Amino acid sequence: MPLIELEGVYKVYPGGRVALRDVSLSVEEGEFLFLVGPTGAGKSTLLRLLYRDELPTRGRVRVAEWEVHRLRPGQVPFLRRQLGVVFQDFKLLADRTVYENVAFALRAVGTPPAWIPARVRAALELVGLWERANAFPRQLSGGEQQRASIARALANQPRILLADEPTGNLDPDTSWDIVKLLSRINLRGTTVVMTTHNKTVVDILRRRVVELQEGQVVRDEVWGRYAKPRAVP
Amino acid sequence: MRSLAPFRERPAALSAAGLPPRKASRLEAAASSVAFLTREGAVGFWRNGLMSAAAVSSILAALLAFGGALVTLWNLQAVAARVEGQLVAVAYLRDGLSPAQREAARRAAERIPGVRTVSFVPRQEALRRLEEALGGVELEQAVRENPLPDTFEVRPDQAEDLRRVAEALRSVPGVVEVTYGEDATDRVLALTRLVRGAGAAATVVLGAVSVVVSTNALRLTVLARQQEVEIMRLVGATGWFVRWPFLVEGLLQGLVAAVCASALWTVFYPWAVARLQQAWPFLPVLPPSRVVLPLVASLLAGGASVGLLGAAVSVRRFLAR
Ligand SMILES: Nc1ncnc2c1ncn2[C@@H]1O[C@H](COP(=O)(O)OP(=O)(O)O)[C@@H](O)[C@H]1O
Ligand SMILES: [Mg+2]
Repeated sequence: MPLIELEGVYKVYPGGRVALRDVSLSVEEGEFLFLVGPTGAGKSTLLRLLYRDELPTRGRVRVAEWEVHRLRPGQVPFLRRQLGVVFQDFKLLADRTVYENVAFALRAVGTPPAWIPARVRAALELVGLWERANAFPRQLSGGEQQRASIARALANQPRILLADEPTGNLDPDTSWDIVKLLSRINLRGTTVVMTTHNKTVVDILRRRVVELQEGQVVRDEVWGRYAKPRAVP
Repeated sequence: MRSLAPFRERPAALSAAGLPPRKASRLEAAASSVAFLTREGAVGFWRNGLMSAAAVSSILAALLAFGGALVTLWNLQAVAARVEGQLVAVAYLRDGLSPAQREAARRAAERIPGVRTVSFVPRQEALRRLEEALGGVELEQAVRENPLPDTFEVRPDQAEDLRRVAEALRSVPGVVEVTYGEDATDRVLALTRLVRGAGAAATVVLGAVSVVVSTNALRLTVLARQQEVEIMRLVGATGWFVRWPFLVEGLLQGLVAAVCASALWTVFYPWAVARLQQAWPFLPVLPPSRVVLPLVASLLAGGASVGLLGAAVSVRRFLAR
């Protein structure tokens, strides 16, 4: 059974904007998937449906054993513990150190305090930020901040990592570092879904690519590139 | 694929809640979570000093008004109770009843539903009271023979029952006449009813105002923590985990406001009573000893619940999604 499954999903925002049209998609456990497409194509919306920030207007969304489209509100937190989410703007708490930011996510789900130091350390070592554990976000570069936010997303050991344009604010070299990191996390067994505009990264990595246009899946390739290859003249 | 996951060394028995399997440590974890969340709330209270001060002062203003309403209500109730306590039905007894007949009449009167006490006032006592009321005139000399009858003074449980009790008294054997100040009683009752109702209404209204005021004050608190809330929800914190720090913060704000309000009222009420009694010595006001403690208790309870309620209401918006 695929880990993530969407079937005939429509999303119409209040106001009538159709963000997704009849999207069907399945992702196996352990996959690395790039979600590409122009701004406004519906990439962020698709991710939001997975962590149940939004509900589909129509269709089914399943993540692991969770029927996300008809999840009771009380169950939502338990779905989210299976999903780490990172964003373009990091969303770190400015008044807490890197260590405290990661620990905060652990405490928020009731992790026993005795487990926390080891978990925080493991997560920060994985992203290569253990040396900066006591720094505040403003003392970090953009790439380091994104690493911290990835560490936070992974601290609860989720099965899936969702990354919405994680390199959107970063320069090319740093972007590449982040993508390599996500790739490494994927090799450890975590399923990764990442939206991006970064053509170079997608083309070099050659992982599965799903392209959205105006809310529809127009392409789904196993060893894909950022754009469909032009016809050879 | 999953066997490739050294990072995800999650213990097999780990429950969905992320708590450890052993019962004792599950309890420990819950306790430590409560401690953590409570600390988060307290930390928020201190860190957002200026905002807390603003919230505390608006709750304080509401609580001061609420205290004023309570003090007024209690004083009015005391006056009403005292006035009502003076309402008695007087049953005049036939001349020459034997002690046994009198005893029978008393028992019959006591059996009337709603009667609290029946006290026998012998004619000599009635005369003595009359003399006293007239300022110490020696009536016994003047009239030579006591013209007053023996009476029962009958007090009802409820002032409203006086009329019914008086009617019933008329049919008690040995009773020749019953008076209870018909018109005055009705007017007094209408007045005390009005006073009680208005006081209670004012208290309820001011209590509701306090809740609204503190809800608004705490909305700022919630806004200041919007990012924390967003992240807690994103990583899968349950509703209670998100709510708890706010409830703690709201409770602290309400309690701090209540302590200030209590301190102010503890100083103000005795002062006001002293001033009032200087100006109008016969004004019936409750002594501070009977007001301050209940008032402090009410303010603390009110502040705590207003803070909790305000926090719960303003955090609900975030949890609705
Ligand atoms: N909360 C919202 N309310 C209304 N419309 C929205 C909302 N979020 C996104 N949209 C619209 O839905 C469409 C898809 O948006 P989005 O999923 O953010 O696209 P992408 O991430 O691919 O840029 C866009 O037209 C956007 O304007
Ligand atoms: Mg987007």
